[in-house]
Amino acid sequence: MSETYRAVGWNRQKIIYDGIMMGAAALYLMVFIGLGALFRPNATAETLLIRGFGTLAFVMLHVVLIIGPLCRISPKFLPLLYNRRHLGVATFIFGSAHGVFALFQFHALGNVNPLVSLLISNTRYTSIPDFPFQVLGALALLILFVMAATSHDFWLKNLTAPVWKTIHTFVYVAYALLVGHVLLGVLQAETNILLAVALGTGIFLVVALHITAAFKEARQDEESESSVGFADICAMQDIPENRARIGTVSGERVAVFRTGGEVYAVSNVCQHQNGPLGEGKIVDGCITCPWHGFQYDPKTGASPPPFKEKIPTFDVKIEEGRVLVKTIPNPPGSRAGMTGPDREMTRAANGPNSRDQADP
Amino acid sequence: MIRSIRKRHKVIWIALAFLLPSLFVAALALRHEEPRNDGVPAVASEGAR
Repeated sequence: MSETYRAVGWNRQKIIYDGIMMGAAALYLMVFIGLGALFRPNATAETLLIRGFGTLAFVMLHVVLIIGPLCRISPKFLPLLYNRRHLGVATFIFGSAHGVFALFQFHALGNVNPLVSLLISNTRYTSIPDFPFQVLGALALLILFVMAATSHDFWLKNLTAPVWKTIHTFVYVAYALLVGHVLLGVLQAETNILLAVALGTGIFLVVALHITAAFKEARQDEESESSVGFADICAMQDIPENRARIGTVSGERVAVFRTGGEVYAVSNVCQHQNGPLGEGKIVDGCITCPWHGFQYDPKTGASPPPFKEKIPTFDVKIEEGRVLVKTIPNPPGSRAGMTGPDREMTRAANGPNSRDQADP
Repeated sequence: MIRSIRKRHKVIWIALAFLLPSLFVAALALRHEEPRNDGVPAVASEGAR
């Protein structure tokens, strides 16, 4: 993949995804402001905009956060994951609109710099009801800015996936800060029980889904039984044609694919965003990541030209109908061996493939 | 996801599972009525938070 920065590689799916997202956001704002003007006739336009953008960004952050665990629990939700980064960037933009309007509304009319005013106008950090909740929102916005600014594949490639993912893990910190921002801010003044119920439901949903997904993943990490350098992954007949079974070998997951009557084992970790290759399928002869369509030759672990990503492969042997995978991987992009009394390995030529190699 | 990231994710969310509900309960339990000045028009006090 080229490391040259380039604009979004639009395709039909991304246009539909973003169209639905922006349409829903516009509808939400119109309904919020319309109902606000109806039921709170004394509220100013600025107040309605501040609250409209703020609640919209907070709701969108919930959606962003539940997509990941939903996809871990059921692959039916994978289409939501496809363009999640655009959802995240839009969340930052709407959150920024909330922050900027609030800064002008409450901090721009004095003789102090609005940002300085934000930090010094309330320093009651030891009081829950009077806590300077604005600072929590500002910190969360700062985290979301860093995430939005580094969301493009250019940064993913240059920072490397582990560093990029570590940076983006801070979205959980941003979420905790924003829960605090809402609880210590608007919910201290607004005593309508529905607001507390809505926030409580949101927190429960996000936490419960992440915990459920985390424990499901932990169960899958249990080591496959291994002996003499090979781990027993599954029976060959358990692997559907052009699909995979996932096992754990030497602490990391291995995807064992079956295609054309042959069995191939590769690292389960896609080089793009560390997506679970074993949950993908063989398309046009290539392992295709279920997240963004990055592809790898199952025999070598190398992406078809002109792409350059490579994943480690594992030697495989079949014994008494069982698939055994060598516990030590081959270097990324190198052809794996397949041995065993049950079958001889045959090769099939596969053509190059296309994929979404884009962008945020 | 790689294993170390999965482990970190699990630890973070177990911590948040305790932290967020505790914050939720504390923030709602300790809130107090803001003093109101009925002499001030509602439009001036709206949106203070």
